Amino acid sequence: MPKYGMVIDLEKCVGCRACMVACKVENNTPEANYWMYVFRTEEREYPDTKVTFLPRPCQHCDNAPCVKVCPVGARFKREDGLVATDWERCIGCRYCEVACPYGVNSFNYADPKKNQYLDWSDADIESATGGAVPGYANPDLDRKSQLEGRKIAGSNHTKGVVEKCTFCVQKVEKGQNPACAETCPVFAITFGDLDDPESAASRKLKASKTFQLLDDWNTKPRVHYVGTPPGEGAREIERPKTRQTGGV
Amino acid sequence: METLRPVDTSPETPETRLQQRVFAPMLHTERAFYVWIGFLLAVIALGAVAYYFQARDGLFVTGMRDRIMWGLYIALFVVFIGASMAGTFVSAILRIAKAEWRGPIVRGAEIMTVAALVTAAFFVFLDMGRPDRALNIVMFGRWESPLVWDVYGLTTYLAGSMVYLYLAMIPDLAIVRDEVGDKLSGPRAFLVRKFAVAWVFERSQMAQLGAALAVMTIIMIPVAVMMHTVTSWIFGMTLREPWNNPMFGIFFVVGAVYSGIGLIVILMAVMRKVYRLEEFITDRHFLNLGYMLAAAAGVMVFFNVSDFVTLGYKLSADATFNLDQMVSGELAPVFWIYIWAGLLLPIAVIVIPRTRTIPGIVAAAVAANIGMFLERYFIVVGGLRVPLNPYEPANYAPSWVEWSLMAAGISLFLLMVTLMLKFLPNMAMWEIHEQTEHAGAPIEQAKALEAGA
Repeated sequence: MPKYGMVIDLEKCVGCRACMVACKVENNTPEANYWMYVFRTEEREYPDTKVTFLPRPCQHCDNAPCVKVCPVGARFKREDGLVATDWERCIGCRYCEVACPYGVNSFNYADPKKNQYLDWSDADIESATGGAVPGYANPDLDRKSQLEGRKIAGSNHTKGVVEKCTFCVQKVEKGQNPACAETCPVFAITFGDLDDPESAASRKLKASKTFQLLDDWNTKPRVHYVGTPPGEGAREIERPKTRQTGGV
Repeated sequence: METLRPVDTSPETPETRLQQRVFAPMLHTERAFYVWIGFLLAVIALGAVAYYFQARDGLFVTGMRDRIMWGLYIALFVVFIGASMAGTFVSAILRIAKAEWRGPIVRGAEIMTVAALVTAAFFVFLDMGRPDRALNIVMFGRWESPLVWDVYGLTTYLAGSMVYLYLAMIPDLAIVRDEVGDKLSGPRAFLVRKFAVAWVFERSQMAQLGAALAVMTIIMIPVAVMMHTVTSWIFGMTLREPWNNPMFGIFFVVGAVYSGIGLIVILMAVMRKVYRLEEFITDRHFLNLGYMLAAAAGVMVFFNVSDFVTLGYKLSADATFNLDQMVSGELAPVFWIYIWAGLLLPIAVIVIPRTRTIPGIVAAAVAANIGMFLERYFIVVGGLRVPLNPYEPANYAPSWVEWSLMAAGISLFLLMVTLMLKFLPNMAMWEIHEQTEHAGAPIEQAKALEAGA
């Protein structure tokens, strides 16, 4: 059984956020939920400002705080290293979200609107499309996972359940890479089997000096970073326009 | 048949006066009762409207968002778990200590425990994103999750408290059956007869009840401590800065004792006024509970000082953020009201002889409960506010839906307490008889004790 992991090279990352968009397209995540999020932070004052970028998917921890606290086993650790969420079992208590120190979980506070980025019923648009609404769902998302036969890929976005990055389990089970890794224009994200010393991710991990987020808490993340973390006093350059800040 | 039943029925003994007082609400319903019940139901109806919007639109209608994902509901859950400490725990402690003044207050306190636990469960239910899947906790419950520990704890404590309440009530139900059973309506008389389980005040029955109560008392004290420890562990088992604290369990237990004693004082004052129990609930009860309240407040002060000194001395990054937000930041008003009005004011009121009166002690109890509500609020919200990633801290303010459901939950609690106090014997008559049996004139004796103290 492979043990998947991800190596993110902060020295390559240009902060373009293409991975965030790829994730949204692949997983059809609801408006304002970002399973992959790229922090753009700055340190010090102008003109000495230093800008850093930190892509943050779910860390898929081996010692996952969210898995421990889930009261119904909707959040669980897979044999291949992925931390998965069973959307059909989640009761929406948000304890995983409270327990996770990385803040990777999104709770669906409202029912996601379909076609949220374009109003397809708008008269102008309707005159151009002839009333046709393009399909938006990836059929792979609706399939049950191969390992345990539960619905853990990113479909079925309903209100009242917690969702997060799945490492694109629907692609990984087919032997493909997650959407963020496939899309990154500067190859900053390497995904692969960390148990296989010949995989690209393992070789990258071996060749570079890496760190993990909040590693003193011993959550054993499966996401490793190359480069330097944002220093003390790093500030978020702009706040994301998400539900948690009030503006949908 | 040898009987321990008090037989003196001349109209002017304290016993008959006590029985009249206890039977009065069971037999007569005043207009004010209907007004009060109507008011509570109206508030609950408002809450139902608010919940309709929450069920339709999701938790989006609350103030909670992804960075502060627990708010008023969870704070109120902790508040009512704390309120449940009042009854069973305090009553068990008083029974073990054989505090002979406990008689008039234990019943009301035990009733409050049962009502508070049901209300606590109500607030957890409100907080769920998918309440339709609540049964998943039973079907797929994982014992590794602190939330499931709390489910086990709450059901155990609720079941135990109901048994404890009922056991201590059997002789009183028998007194009701014998004295006014014929004046109750058919179904109620039937229920009283059934639940009085052929109680005839025989010596062997008294011995058995005494043994059963002694066992329940011993069991209920650790169960109550467990309930509050486990509730604190819901927070303590996470990596959030102010919650990642081994002292949290005992801190919650003491907090629950503190607010719980305050609630008993408030309940006593209300019962005394509404049911005209001045003869039975005296200065002495308020004084004793007032001293307990001040002592618990003192322990709370100790815990807070210990917490702030040990964290404030080292000033790690997260602890600094937390101290800043409490002392001078977003949560400062809540924090300082808690410290001054919630902890120090009750101590001062009870320590200063001039204010150590019934109104003073009741005011201290009210301040203690407001303070402890604020404390639970800033524990929940403040803990979630400390940022662990490089982002700006989020803010939280409850929405009208949350405020309405808070009012509805409190009304539900008061409704349950009111109905139980009306339909059940609201004071432990047999315990008061027992305590006063050997002293011919119980009230005089109590007064003498009081004068001595």
